[in-house]
Amino acid sequence: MAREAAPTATPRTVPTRPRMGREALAWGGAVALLLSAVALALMFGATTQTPIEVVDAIVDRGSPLNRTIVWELKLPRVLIALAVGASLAASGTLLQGVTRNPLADPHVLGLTAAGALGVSIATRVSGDLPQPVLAPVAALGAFGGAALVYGMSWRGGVSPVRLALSGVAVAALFTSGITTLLVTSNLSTQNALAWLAGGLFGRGWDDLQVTWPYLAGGLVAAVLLSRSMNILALGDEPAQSLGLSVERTRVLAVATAAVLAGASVSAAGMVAFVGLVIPHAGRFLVGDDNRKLIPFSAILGAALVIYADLFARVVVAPTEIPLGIVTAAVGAPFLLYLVRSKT
Amino acid sequence: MHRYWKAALALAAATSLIAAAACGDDDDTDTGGDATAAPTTAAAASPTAAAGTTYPATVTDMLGRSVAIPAEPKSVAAISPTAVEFVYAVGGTSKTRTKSVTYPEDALAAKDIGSAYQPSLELIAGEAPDLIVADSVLQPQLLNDLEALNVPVLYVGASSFADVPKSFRIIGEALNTPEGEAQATALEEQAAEIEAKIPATKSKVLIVNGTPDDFFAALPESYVGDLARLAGADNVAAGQPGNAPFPGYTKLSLEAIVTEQPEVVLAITAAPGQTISEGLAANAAWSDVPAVKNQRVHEIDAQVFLQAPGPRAAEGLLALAKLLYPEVFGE
Amino acid sequence: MRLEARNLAAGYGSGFRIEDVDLVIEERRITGLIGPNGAGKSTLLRVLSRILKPMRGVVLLDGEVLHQLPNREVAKRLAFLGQPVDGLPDLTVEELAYRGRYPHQSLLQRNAEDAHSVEWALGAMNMAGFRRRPLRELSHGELRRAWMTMALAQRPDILLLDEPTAFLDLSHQFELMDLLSELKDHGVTVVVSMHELWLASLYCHRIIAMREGRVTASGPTEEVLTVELLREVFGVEVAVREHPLLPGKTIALPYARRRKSAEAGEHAAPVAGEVESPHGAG
Repeated sequence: MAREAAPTATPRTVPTRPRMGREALAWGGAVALLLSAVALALMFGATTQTPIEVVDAIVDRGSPLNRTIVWELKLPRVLIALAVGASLAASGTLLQGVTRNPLADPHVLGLTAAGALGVSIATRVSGDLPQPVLAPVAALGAFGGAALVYGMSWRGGVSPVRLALSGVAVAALFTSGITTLLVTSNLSTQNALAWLAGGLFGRGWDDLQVTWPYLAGGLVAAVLLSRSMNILALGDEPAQSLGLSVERTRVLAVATAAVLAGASVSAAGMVAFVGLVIPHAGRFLVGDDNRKLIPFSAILGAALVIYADLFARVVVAPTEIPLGIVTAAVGAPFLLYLVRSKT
Repeated sequence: MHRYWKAALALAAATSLIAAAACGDDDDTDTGGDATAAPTTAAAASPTAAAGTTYPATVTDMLGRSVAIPAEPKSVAAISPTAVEFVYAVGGTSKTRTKSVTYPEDALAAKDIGSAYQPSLELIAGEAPDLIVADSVLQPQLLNDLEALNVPVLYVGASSFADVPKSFRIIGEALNTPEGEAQATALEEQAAEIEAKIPATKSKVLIVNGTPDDFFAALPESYVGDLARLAGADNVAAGQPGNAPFPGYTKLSLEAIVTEQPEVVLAITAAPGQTISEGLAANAAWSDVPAVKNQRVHEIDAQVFLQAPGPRAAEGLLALAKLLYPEVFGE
Repeated sequence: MRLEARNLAAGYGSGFRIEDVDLVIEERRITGLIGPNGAGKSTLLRVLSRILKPMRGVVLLDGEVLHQLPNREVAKRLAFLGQPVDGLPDLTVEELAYRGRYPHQSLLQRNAEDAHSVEWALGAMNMAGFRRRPLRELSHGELRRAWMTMALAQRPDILLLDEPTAFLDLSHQFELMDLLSELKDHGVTVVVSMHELWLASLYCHRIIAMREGRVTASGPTEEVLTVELLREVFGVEVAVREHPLLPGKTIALPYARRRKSAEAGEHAAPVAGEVESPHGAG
């Protein structure tokens, strides 16, 4: 350093934020929401167990029926809902950051459709897709979709606007691709792919086992990217000035969002609105700092999907309605409100 | 207060969305036949004499239409799996068939006109039929298109057991064969016989259609549900709303199923790969269910019970009775 | 911290926006970059800050090819500030300043050095009172100062600024230039583009003048800010005088658009004392 010390101001420790109280409340609230979601989802559904019965079932001390219901049926389903909710929310946060567009999410940008199309093509070709292959095939499909979106928006570099527009176009393309494939398939292929419509019916420990590595890996990657995302949010030039590799960060963010979206599709089919809506709630409660926003959104997203699945299981019990309908019923009004308040 | 009308509107939209999904399609509740007794279902309106049909004939079909048939049909075009099987079951032949038809073998020689949902009208017309036999369950919406071919169109089909004898009589009359009446009577008699032998305590039965990971439960209102009822099943899905994408089925939660403890599971596996029975056997969540423990999870024929309901009702009903009560009806 | 351009040409697409640029940026000085709109000032600044890649030639930082150095390393030594962007309405001034510490941060949390730098930057830009205000509440001038705070928090040795004085009111313009002077005294090399000739002549030691993608002149302020050059570069008539109140400093005062016939009235060297009338007669 070829200079002397700069004029000193009184050095202070990390300054306090006036929003501290509100933020602590938000975090506490989110965690409480998640814990309550898990507790209620284990207690209620088509059948009801008391908290004691739930605990007994988990430690394998109660009746075999309760053990089956809580341990084999409810618990893995709740855990998958948790993982999928967190992943979709994180994916949406990343995509909204990369495209600088508040209406971006893995569904809108075609990543979930790409994952579903990957699975559809693989199923049609092979006739029967073994379960351990589902998650990676879907993740790969989403990856391919993301690459297509990225490639289509490349012109010397990628601008957030082009990325968002390409995503919407690719979403339409892939969705129609899925429809075409289904319509031209025989009945058995159609049946084999019915689960893509969305929902956690029948999800158990084996499904969790197959998907959790991708979801956990994606979530960790998302958290690690949060500081870079903060810099990216400043704009391409300020980010470059600060030494960020802008294209590399964008690619990593989109790739991570794709893996999260694809693995979520393989676990829960196509579930919309979670990635779109949760980041906004998160921003409202804890602000724009991705280091906080991404984990917070993950917690909130997990709670939302668990509650939505609980609702889907309870509203017409003992039958169920698809999860996607519940998230749409919650998400669509929120989206309308968002559009109103921002325009 | 008026500023909240938008919120109320959004809420109403959301609620109706959920309600629509929850209730699904349940306007087929009244087709569940009451055929517990013997032949309560009289034959179609026109008098079916063993003496045969005189032409020109007017036959009332399953949609209640009066179909004018000028002469004995020589060139029949049946355009759905059920229609094809009905025609062959009374000794007739069809010039056409749909893609998924595999029974009877003779039918494979017929012209493939595509899917039952969207058969090729050109190919149908190309066979120069003098009678078109269509499916009253799958194809009522094709009526206008079919009538435009200027050929008599006769609807047969079955969404419940009671429809089957009716359809047999209709097709028998239209094709001038006593076989229709014979099949109908035999079916009614068989149903009565079976009903008489059903034990007082009925088995708790779950009927599912789909894949091991994603299946729907058949309601008593569905065709297979109706047959199962006649075979003495106590359907664990009874009373639930039909909220599956197709009528007569419901998305019954696994918790409810496991709690109900069905003694028999009848499965129609709709996709290649692992069958439902294999899947349930391997699934820890089902290990306590009596049907799985006692190895009473049975795959049943998709064609007979789902895709071509009606013509093979006799063999279907007997098969179910044997699966439910082997001690009474044999293996 | 020597910044050099050799045979530089660059652009945004097919053609060159700047060409044949050979420059050495003098260390620990304020260099002003002047020229009409479209001259290529912004392009030059962007290439010098490695945001834009050269199409021909190189930029050297302490003898090394700038565009091959790792981004993060460059960011510790060099900062660029362009026009403020839209977006990030809810970020506070303080949060924005902290983002400037990114090149110096490791995976771990912020350290005392960060707080020190941010506090200093806030104080230097007089934005300490705004620290908790979200960016959307700031006026245009305040917003620019907030971004400037972030650039300062980065503690660069070289600071490249693209028209930082635009939209600032007079007192803030002086405030900024005084700050840049202070930075220069502490060893920072500053390159700043601006339209305010009078400000450039007061504060810059060296001037680079550009026109139509080429460097027309580059050197000490007194040598570059001549009547002839300014006429050529800007197409305006400029009076260049010794400042009446600041001995040793020149002041350049544009007063008319370029005349067709250039009279030999004005000289390069400032004439002490009176201001001659542009019309010749006394």
